[in-house]
Amino acid sequence: MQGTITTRGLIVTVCMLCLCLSVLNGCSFNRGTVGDELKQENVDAIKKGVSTRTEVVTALGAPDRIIQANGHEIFQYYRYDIKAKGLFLLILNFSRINIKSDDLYIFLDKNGVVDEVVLGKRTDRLEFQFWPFGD
Amino acid sequence: MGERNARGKAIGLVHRLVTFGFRLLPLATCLVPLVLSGCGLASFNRLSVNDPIKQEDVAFIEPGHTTFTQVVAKLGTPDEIIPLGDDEGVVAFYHFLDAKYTRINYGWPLQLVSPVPVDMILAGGGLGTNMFLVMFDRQWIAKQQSFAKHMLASRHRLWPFKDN
Repeated sequence: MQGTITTRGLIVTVCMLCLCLSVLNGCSFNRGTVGDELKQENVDAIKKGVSTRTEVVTALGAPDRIIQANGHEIFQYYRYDIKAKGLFLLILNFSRINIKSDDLYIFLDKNGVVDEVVLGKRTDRLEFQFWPFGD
Repeated sequence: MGERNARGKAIGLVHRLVTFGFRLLPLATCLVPLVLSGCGLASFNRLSVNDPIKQEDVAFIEPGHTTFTQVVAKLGTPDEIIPLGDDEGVVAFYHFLDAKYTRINYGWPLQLVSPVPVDMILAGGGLGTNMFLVMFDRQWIAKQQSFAKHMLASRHRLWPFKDN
């Protein structure tokens, strides 16, 4: 009698394990980034009306893009963050890739001194999602 | 008598096998999904770049009044700034993208009965790229704004043979 209960228990355990595996085996998480993180302390080190072009480049490296506009030289730094999640079930598969960017613009005046610093961070709101419908 | 015994033994063996088979049925039911998983009937995929900007999000921009700093404070930094010729100002671009892709393998159910895999795949989707543009004058005051509307192109397409 005891042996029968043990066999049944074993079968139930194996079945539960297989069910768990069938649910978990189709899950994937992926992550990728483009460019270095724009650290707040590096940005804070740049002072408006004080820091020069050289100091900016020393602190942040060479800009990804240089724009000449409205009497300013604008240095643009950007970073992209990518999060992808997939749920691969028996019949249905769902996957979603979300990409967001951080951008830093440094406006330099004609003398090469920082006139304005504009940092926008979107990547801190980036999420892993698998549901591809809705907003 | 001997025949009866042999027949009885055979019936008992079949009965045991059937009973054993039924005991394994839950296990087999669980193993089938393991074998078939990953070759789904349908897959729905989506790619999103940045959050979409809606009309109501940009209602605060008043041409001739709103400054670049105010726009950045509300919408975040633009993805791109392009200077206009002769130092006449700049255009700030906000890019966002939404792509949806659907793939259905109508031959998938046949793998339950067919010894070889049968695929009949229909797939389709749409790429909705959108941009919001704000033009600023030399003093970084907003002059004009507009959307490039392609967002409706992004949708899950179950039947790829439709005209639109």
